[in-house]
Amino acid sequence: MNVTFWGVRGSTPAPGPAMVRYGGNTSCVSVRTKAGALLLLDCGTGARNLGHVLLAEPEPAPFRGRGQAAVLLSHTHWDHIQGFPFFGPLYVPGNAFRIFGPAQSSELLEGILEGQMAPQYFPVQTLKNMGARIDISAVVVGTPF
Amino acid sequence: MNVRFWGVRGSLPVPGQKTERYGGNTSCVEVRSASGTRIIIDAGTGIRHLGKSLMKEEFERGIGAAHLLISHTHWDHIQGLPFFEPLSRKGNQLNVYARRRDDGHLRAVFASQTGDPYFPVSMEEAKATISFRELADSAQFEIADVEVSCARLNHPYVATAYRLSVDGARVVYVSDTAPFSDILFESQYVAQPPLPSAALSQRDRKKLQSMRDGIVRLCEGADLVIYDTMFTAEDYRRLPHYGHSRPSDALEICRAAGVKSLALFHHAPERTDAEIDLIARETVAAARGSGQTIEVVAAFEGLQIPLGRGHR
Repeated sequence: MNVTFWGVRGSTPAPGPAMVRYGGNTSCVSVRTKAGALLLLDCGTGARNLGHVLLAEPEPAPFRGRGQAAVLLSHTHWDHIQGFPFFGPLYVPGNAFRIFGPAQSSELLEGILEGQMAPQYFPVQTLKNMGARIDISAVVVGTPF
Repeated sequence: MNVRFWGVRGSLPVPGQKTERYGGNTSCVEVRSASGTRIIIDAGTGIRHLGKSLMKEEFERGIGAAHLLISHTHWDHIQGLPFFEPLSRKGNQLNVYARRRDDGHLRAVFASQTGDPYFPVSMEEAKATISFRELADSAQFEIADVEVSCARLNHPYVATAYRLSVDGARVVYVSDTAPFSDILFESQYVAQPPLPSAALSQRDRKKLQSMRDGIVRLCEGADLVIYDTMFTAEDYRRLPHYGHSRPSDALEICRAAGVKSLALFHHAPERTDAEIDLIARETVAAARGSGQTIEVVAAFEGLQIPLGRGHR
């Protein structure tokens, strides 16, 4: 498998000349298996650049309408989810994403992610306007899947 | 007064080499009057650095007061507030102003940003005193020696423009807004760009016209206008329904209002330093046209513009 770091920063994105080498984007790591499966570990602002790369892949360019990936969220503090609204492949109908994260229930996790998209905070207003298929599942600690 | 830019970017913060010169932090502008009144417009990630700077002054001792004017509550205009250090010192005072909403109190919009499960420190735990004041679309009020006037902008879920007058000078902050021509934004979600041939209803056209009149009035004779010019002409052709303007839209309003200088602001996250240089050069050239020349600068982090008398 291949592990790529797209964002390595905690708390808040930190642009600026003093951060250029390690990078200022918040947490996002991608794991690509040999068979081609894609997993994202957290979805901080680093996810935006991963999205650009996926959308610019040469043909057959799966994320332009047939892409699938899983997103594993460590927790839902901003620096681990704030890249979600800016992850381009989520806006392409035909792509499908499964989101896993810790919460009391899948409905609650969905509510948390919807909260970030709400109209007072973000113009897209709801996950349902994004285009891709998004399935959200709460993870129960100690239960493998 | 002195105007200082702490964050000039729109949508989301963009760290990295290609945004190093103009800066990758989201919207935050500081205006300080000669007598020391401290006004901050918007609380994008740039406010974190302003906070660090204020903590080297009276805010460190817990005797600081600042006034935060919020254009609207999209993330890129509020996401820095939880990282604003003066809030952690008892005795400091922050007065937050933003447009009155139909669907809940302003305080709730900010409180949920810092609540469980999004952020570990709740607003209630802030040691400073935070007060909220909700504004009508065309509110006028005073903050110490600064006269503040508002006008509404054309942006999804509505944004507010602010004019600050003090020390014999005027600065106007116009962000975020679409041009006042093709779509009227209220609270609706516009999924698709409108067809180029789509005609506006008479009602929408009238409302846009009166909104434009309001902005031109607000900018009348301003020394500096800070304008959302996130879009290129090409972006606007593709995404007219996203609620942002082009440099040509800003120039058109500035000409109509007899503005002296214009700061291009709210740069798109994908815009590199080299691209902003080019846009700035083109806009400077376009601003030389007939009549009075408008001075143009593309705002960058750290830019300071003194205006009027007795700035410091």
